[in-house]
Amino acid sequence: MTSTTRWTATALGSLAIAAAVGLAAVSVRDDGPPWLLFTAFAVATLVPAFAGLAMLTHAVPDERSEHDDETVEHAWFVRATSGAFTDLLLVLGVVVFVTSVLDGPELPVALVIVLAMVDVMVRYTLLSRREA
Amino acid sequence: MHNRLRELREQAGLSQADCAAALGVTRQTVISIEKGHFDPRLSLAFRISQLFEVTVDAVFSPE
Repeated sequence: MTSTTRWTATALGSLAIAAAVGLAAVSVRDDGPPWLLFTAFAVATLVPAFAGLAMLTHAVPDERSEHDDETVEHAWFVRATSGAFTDLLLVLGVVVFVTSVLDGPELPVALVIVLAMVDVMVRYTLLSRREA
Repeated sequence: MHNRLRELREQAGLSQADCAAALGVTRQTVISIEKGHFDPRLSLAFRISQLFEVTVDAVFSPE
């Protein structure tokens, strides 16, 4: 899978997911005009869907192999996700502590998820450039 | 971990892509092993030794 194919698949896939979520919201909810419900839910879904799909499509090596779990790409993905999880624990711990003490606004869960996914992508990219 | 993968592969006249296909991994995996950036699992180390008909310790040795 080439880089262009990955990004195209990611963009089209995230658009499809966002549209599906928008349509689902319109069909179930009745607390606003349909166009507004569709737009709000589709837009809110687009970025997390893009980040999630990008993470998945970039975890797939460029070529198929019989032993995918023994490839260096798999090792990079495991290290990237493991590192991102540690980052997430640290960031959430500090944020929860600070917001509890200062009685500040809560951190949106969607933002945390997007940050974690971006963290995985950045770590994977850095590992693959450093160790390729 | 030091390894002789590049030397053995070149002696056998295999490209990195051929070697990767024979081992069932990606070409990038072969490149990373040859550069010493990636230590393969034991199962892959055994497949490498079988491919070149040598013992595992003839391919890999501690640095």
